[in-house]
Amino acid sequence: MDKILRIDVGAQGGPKATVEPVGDYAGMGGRGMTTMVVYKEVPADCHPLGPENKLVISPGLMSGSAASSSGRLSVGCKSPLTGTIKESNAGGTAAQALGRLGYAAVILEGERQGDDMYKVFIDDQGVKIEKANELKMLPNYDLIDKLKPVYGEKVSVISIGTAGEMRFSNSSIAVTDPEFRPTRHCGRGGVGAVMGSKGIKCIVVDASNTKMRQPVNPEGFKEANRKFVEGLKQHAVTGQGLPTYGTNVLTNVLNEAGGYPTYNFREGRYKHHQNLSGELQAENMKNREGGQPTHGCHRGCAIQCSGIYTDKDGNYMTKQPEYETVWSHGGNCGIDDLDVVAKLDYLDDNYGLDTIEMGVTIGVAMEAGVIEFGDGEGAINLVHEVGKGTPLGRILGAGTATTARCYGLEHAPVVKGQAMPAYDPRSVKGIGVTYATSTMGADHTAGYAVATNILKVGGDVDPLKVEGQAELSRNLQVATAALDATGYCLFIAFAILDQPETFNAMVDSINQMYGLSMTGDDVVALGQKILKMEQEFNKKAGFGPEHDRLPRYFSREPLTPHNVVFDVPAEELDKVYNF
Amino acid sequence: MTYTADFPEPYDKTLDNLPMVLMRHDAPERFSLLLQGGFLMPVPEPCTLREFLCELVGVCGVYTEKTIQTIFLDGLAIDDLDTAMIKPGARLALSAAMPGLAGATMRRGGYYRKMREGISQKVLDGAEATAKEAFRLQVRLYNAVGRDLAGLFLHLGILVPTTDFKKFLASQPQKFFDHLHAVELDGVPLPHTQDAVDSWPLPEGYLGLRVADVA
Repeated sequence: MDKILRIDVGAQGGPKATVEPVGDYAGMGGRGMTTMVVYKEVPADCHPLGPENKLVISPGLMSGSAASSSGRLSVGCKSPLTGTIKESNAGGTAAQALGRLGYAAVILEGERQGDDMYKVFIDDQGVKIEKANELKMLPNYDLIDKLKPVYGEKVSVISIGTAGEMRFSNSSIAVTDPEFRPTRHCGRGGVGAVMGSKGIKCIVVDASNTKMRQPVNPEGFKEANRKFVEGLKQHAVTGQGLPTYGTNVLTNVLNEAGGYPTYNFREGRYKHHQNLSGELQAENMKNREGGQPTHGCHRGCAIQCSGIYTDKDGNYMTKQPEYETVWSHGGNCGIDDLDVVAKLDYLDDNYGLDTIEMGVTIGVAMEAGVIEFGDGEGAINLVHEVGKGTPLGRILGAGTATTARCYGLEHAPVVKGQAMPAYDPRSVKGIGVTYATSTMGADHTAGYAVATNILKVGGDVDPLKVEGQAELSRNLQVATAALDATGYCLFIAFAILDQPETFNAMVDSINQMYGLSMTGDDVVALGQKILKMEQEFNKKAGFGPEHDRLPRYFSREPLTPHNVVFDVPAEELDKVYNF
Repeated sequence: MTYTADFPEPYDKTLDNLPMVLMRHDAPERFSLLLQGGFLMPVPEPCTLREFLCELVGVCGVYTEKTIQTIFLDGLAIDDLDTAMIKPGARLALSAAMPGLAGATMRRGGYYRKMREGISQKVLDGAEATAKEAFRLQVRLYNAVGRDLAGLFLHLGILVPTTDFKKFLASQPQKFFDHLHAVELDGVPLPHTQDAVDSWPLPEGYLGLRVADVA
């Protein structure tokens, strides 16, 4: 991956592609690449939908190689939802395809001229950009149906649905999966709106004439990858829990902990949780025709945490909805029907919406009385309103914070304008610290369970001492930022957390791929570098410590059943970036 | 990992003298959706969680340490099996290790347990403070633990609301009944095909359920 593709959407006569060497961005990939480009090239005070913003699409450092579970694609920009820097990543097949074609990044930049929409085609022969107004306002699944006869099913597509075209602050960028369905989404932060603002409907990537990226040391890489896969398969979470139940295995456990936000974060337990559980979801997929409970979002993944969800008659409904989706559209809205949740997941994917933001927004709309809690049909109709861009849909499509403002509600569970995910910060306070301080707004993946105990980020930390929450969150955010640069899926975290030999195999696989001799310290340094750039960008964009806070009602209103509030002091939160 | 130890003798063979359904079924893991919904089981007297698991249920050693990674007692995350007390009115949930930061946070004795401050069990509640009398414990078995331990718990016998049991049976596909070889209600045989379930004269309220392998 030694080249960068820049597409100037404001060029005379239509968007123009230029390929240049990777230059100063050498050694960066995934979140490392997107953050560095945005940090260096985008004025922090620009409007996210203006010509100065850029959309950076970057495969991880290991994408396109034979490394297992390395198919993450990062997308970065200044976020229309939060106003901060944003990196959002997804699985699917595009990262591998771009990696095999040698692209370290695709950058959409400049000022769109006119209202035309364009499609970009990239293969081993180069780049073609064509006007594609016939694709205008097509939802993602319909778009793929249109592209299939032209390009076949072996290509990868990066696209926006109607939400992105209408430049909604809640709009995602879709990536096709191995079945050529647009099911994988860079969901958070409204990145689809930035693609829409550049007038690019889709990017078709054809890597069929290319081979896997070759490591500098093939034998060493093969051995490291073998050990890495062995570690993933032998671990209880990556080898059994995730393949069997998917991420929705968390529903029962978070509910038991009283940390399952219900009825727009009013309660910590949902009485119908078992109707939404991963256990039931897996049974449905196992028992229904066409269902598949164990499935990879891209080829070569050893974890296979995804699945294919069908209805009672065996018709495809959607990919296996993730825990966060089942929660946001389910318990958070008082809806306890997995088939309704599956329908909502499909609609989100089709219109190009982030499922967390959409579900939380509907929860706020329910609290406002737009529809009743528990009204599944009503929720489906609201998503259609968004996808079609009705006046109400435009409010909801602007995200949770805007919707709450429009209806005069304090209860907007957001940080920096981004909806909180499926873990109530009053019960799981460490996650609350991460929501508050992440450079991205409320984000559960910003502080994932990466092997900070092995990395010893910032030295040895005693997790039991009083100030442990801030330190743990900081270390997690640093380690996660580094992992997001590699293209490895965050779900490898458990195996590398528990098994030092698997962590070492992961680092070694990168070393053998690039001929490096990186150590854990270098991984930490990379993570810190990424976070510092992000923090500095945010500072220039007007964000300070006062924005690293949860809404005050989380400190004021106790959450049942434990009657706990978020009580981590502000001075603790301010310590997170002391490094 | 799979639970492989021999099943112990049930503590209460009569299951509180409730109407008893005995099923001969050779795939008890297919009951795991019933077990995730919650059930009651008789306990002779208050005890520590380790005593409950090890002595009453028969889950000891490697399985307890390696597989049961996430435990909640009355909604509080448990780190120490020897200080957590099973008492009247208690609600116990057992789970395998979970993904994500939330999963890591909830794990017994995990590196990130500090992050769940406020919902961890902190103090040792003395067993002597509670009367030594029999009671019913509310139990939930989740994910791999439910699948692995279904045979064991169903061998010991559980108490479930009849409505939950009927709902569970109604949701089961034909495959479930392919593994069902016989059913009795208080010793009286019942037809065991899928379409015969509605004719079972199950009493209202709670019933005892025990599942035995065909052997």
